[in-house]
Amino acid sequence: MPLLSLEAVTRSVELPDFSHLEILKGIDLEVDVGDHISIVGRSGSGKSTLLNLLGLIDNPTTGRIVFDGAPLEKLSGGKRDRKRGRDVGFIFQQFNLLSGRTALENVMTPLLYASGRQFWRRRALAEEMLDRVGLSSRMASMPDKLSGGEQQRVAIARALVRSPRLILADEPTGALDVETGGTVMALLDDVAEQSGAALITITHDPNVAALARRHYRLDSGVLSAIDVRHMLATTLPEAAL
Amino acid sequence: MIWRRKKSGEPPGADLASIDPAQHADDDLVWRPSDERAKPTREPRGSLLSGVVGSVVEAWDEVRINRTRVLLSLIGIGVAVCALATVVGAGTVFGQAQTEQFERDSGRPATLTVYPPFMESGVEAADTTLFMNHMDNVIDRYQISHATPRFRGSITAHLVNGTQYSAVQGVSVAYGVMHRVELGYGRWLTEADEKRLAPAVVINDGFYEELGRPDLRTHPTIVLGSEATTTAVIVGVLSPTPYESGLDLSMLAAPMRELVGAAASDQGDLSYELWVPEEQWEQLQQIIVRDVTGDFGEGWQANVNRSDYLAWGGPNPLEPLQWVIGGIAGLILLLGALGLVNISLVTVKYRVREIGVRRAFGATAGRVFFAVMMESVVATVAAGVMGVALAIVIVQNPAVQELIAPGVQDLPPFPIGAALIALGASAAVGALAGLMPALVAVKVKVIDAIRY
Repeated sequence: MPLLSLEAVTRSVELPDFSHLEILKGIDLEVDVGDHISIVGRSGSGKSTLLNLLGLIDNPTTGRIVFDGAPLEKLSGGKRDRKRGRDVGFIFQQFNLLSGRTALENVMTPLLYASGRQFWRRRALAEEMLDRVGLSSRMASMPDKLSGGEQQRVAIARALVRSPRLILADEPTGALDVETGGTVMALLDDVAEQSGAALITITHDPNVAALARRHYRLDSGVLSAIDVRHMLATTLPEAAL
Repeated sequence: MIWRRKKSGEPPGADLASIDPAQHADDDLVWRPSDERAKPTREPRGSLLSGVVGSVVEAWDEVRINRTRVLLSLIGIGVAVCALATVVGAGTVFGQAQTEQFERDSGRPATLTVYPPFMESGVEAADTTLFMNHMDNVIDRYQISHATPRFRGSITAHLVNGTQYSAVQGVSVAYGVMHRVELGYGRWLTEADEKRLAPAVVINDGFYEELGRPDLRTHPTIVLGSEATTTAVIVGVLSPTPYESGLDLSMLAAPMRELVGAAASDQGDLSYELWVPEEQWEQLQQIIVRDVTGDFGEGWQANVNRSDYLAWGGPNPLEPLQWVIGGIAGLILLLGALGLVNISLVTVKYRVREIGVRRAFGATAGRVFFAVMMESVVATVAAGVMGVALAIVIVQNPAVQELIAPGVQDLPPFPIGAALIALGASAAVGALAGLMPALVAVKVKVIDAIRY
């Protein structure tokens, strides 16, 4: 049984003139435990909408999403929130670290919504996780005192501290230079693989996408599998996409 | 982070320990990415305790991070809570002073005043000696620890500028406790004074003034009486009271009877006061009435009344003042709350992204609502604690106490009730002020918030 499956999922929104814009069209996707999937697409192709559906944040207009054997439509809001907190880790392009809080406090944040040992041992777990991403010396630093690469590593630690089964990375290197982006992706790939979590990376960077084992392209709301060699063969990523 | 199965003999929780994969490369117990991880059979609800603690931690963090803003917005709340607690606390001290004054005048609750019995026909007066023996028996029989006779009369005092009449009362040592006698100088009458050849007297401040305020350490004396005179030693001076007039002195009952003679008491200026437990005064009253018939015979009517201030009834004289100051405090609290609502609403608008991130990491709508409201509650309760602490410092300050209630004997501790009322009010204001921002926070759309 796959960890996550999307069956004929569509997502449309109502426009001010009461017409409907279909952002995603008939998406079928299966994600297994330990998978590493990349999804590339131009701006406005529906990547973020798909990410929200994958992350149990949004509901499909039609179709079915099954997470861990449970159809999404059967989960109440609270249950879905709790499942998302426990099983899904988000990494955002702009890091979205909470200002005014140290790196350690940022990593502890998801654990505030846990229970049992994860909640009561949140400081130790967060310290352990920051150590894991090589930031044991920057735990007390505020986000604005960290470099872009360090901020994204904090974001990775935050996404992984509850040991999620699915990691969703939305343009994880979008705000980083090429070299730092490569380091961060290597770290993310490494940590995700060790934790056994499935990793879905949404990016427009073919080099980042190439790190995945399965590759998809989202174009005008349609998701299709692509050949990564073809993608990398193109010199300009924009031309390839 | 890699999770591994627990080996036998490991302590509980060892399976949750993170291990370095490099050190466990050959360990077949380490789970590989291809392993399917254990899945919960049902969706667990977050534990209530961790949920509540987590919300409070979140709220406190928010207050801590935005302490300058929070402090500014909470000044009004803190001042109002301080005012509220001070009003109630000062009211308690002032009330105690009033109570003590009432007790000085009328005795402590419950004081029974027993007059000599009378005949229904009204033609025959009770024998004073028989009445005194009867009362001695009553006091002894019912083990009344605080009781005093009160002989009242007047006496001639020979002063430097001539003779003057002074009011005099003969009482027992217990009268000092029963009436909270407050002394300006010297001491109250004691058991040892019964053995004095020269009776000990306690005079009022006016009397002391007439004598030229002699040093009590020199054992000043006064000559009392007209036909048969006696020299009395002044052992104490009562604190001045605003409504005192004329000369007044107190002495033990026995020497007074000798000095004044039976005439005064035979004229009806004799009574007994008994300080009895409040819950038993009615029962004792009935018993004394019954005993009078037994000791004096048929036709004699007992004259026993409760005479302390609680028997007077009437409205609390402090109530209007407490209502006015309480109303002002309530108004300040309301204005503070409105300011807090305003600031909280603006703050929530600036926190849309943060709320979205929290939702993405598993915060339920209920949790966000509770956390935002708790921020307000935690902040106002913190302000409340500060306000109550300040109120305690104010009310317990000796200078303030002297101003509110000069001469109060039993200073009451700061009333717990006042502190609880003030803290409850601050928490309630926090909850009300946090309600609207919390509703706004819950309506934040996660998707929009993260992209914000």
